[in-house]
Amino acid sequence: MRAHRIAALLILLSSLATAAEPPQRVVSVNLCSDQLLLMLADPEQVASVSYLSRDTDSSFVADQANSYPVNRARAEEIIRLRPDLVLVTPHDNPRLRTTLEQLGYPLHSLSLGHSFNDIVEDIRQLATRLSQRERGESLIQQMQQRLRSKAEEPTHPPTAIFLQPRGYTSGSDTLQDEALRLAGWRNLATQHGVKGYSPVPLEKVLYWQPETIFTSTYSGSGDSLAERQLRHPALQRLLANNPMVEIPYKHWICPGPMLADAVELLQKARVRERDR
Amino acid sequence: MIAAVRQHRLMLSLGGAIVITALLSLTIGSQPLPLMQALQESFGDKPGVYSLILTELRIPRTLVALLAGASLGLCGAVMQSLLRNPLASPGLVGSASGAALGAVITLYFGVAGLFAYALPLGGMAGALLATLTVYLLAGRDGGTLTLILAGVAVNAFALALVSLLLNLAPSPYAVQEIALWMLGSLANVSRNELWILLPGTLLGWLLVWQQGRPLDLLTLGEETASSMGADLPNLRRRLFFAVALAVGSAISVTGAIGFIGLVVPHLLRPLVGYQPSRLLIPSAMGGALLLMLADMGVRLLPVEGEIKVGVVTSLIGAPFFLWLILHHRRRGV
Repeated sequence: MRAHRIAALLILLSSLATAAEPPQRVVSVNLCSDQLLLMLADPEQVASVSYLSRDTDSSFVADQANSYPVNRARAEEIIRLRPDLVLVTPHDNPRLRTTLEQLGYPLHSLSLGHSFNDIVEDIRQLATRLSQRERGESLIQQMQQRLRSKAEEPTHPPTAIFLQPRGYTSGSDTLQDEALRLAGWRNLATQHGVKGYSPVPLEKVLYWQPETIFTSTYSGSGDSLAERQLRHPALQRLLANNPMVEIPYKHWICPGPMLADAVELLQKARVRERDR
Repeated sequence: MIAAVRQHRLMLSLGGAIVITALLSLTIGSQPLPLMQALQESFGDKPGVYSLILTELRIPRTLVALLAGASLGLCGAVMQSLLRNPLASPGLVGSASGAALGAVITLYFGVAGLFAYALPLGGMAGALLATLTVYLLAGRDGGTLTLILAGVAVNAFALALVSLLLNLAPSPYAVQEIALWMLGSLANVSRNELWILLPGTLLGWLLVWQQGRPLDLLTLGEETASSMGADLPNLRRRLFFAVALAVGSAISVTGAIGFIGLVVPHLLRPLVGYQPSRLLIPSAMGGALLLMLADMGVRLLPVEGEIKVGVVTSLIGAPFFLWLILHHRRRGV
């Protein structure tokens, strides 16, 4: 019994000690944590990022990522990197997390919530954990400024929806919904009670009559029925003078400061719509 | 004489049911559609949402269901008569899965993007190839068992290739469409699909035209039929092509919808006095009716997204198939 308590105390002390020291070998196993890590950490703090962070179609830090070894989120390669902190997200394999936890590696998990405030919170917590508080605050401030400079709120926000291949739309509690709102659009999907990311029948889209439809087709190569759905004659007739607006997919993979980029794109589309 | 009157009545009632079902199916969707207003809009100067939904979504969908269902019903009747086998149908002798394979090859690997009719041509080629393979494997005088086994093998092979190819396809959305090709769906078909489907379908039907009599003769056995003037090799070629054209066109738009070609001819055969020539047109009508009804059922089910129409036809068809097997065994004993 006493041995247990002593052991617990020792673990507690050692974890306190490591918490005080800024981590020097951080491994990130997920594109979302990769991007925040490379934005916040000193280069020498980073031991490895995931392979996806080098993919220019998905990552905002592809250039930076080229100078670090990449991993594919496998326990063995992570252990070999001897990390003193592993960044994970709720999307990562829970078995990987338990394995790493049982082996005593400290983990830091992002929440990856979909609102602006969730993003601020994730940045702040990670910055603190990396002992990069100032860099975190300045990243948050930049983001806030970029969003604020766009804040001429329209009195009658124009209507829009996101429509992806296979007929998926973005309702409440999605990055797209938050970005539309921040850019001064009214998301009809949310207004009609769609929650999260969910398929919507084409008939409904026609009933809603959005003024603009945004889409983010993942990779343009190849053909599929899912992608053909977006070229349905009914949609083309609905959008006769106003073709769909493509927002690159990489803006929506991860919640992060890139939300501001997405909002800027949506904002520009709104100005075009207004002047039309 | 009495048979002719009965035939007449059967076709009239099937035709009436088709018209009523088609009209009803126009009223069913995710949103209520005031039909009169939609019609007014469609013929007026200002096309609105209602006319858009009616003319671009519901009418094409109903027509595709009608044509594809008719092809499947007709081809089921043709196959059963031609192969003199009650279990033959586009689904069982490989035509449907072969067509799905052909369509998948053309659609996902860029060929269908070159010209629109590449898609149904792929479907037709696949249907023909699979059907011929089964036919050659089973042999002309092969029994029911051989035919079914050959069909099972070719079906499994074609569907395995469909899965494999969809996994290899460049589009990241392809993998999620496996179920669609295996079960069939009419969701989101547009007039584009209608035009793609139409030529092969009509050509296929045309080839079946007036082949009822040689099929009647064939019920007497091949030798007797030949001696009575039926040109069997020609008949076989012609009908295999007809099935490939019609089924290939339908399946390349809807995916492999099962059991319609099996069930419908069986249900109608007693009503036409077991005479192949009298069975063809009613089977086409019955197929159209069944697929339209199944598709209405799919749209009425309160699930998010939409289940595949092939789920409904198989839910009806599979128990029927089992009953058919039991029935035959009992009679055989």
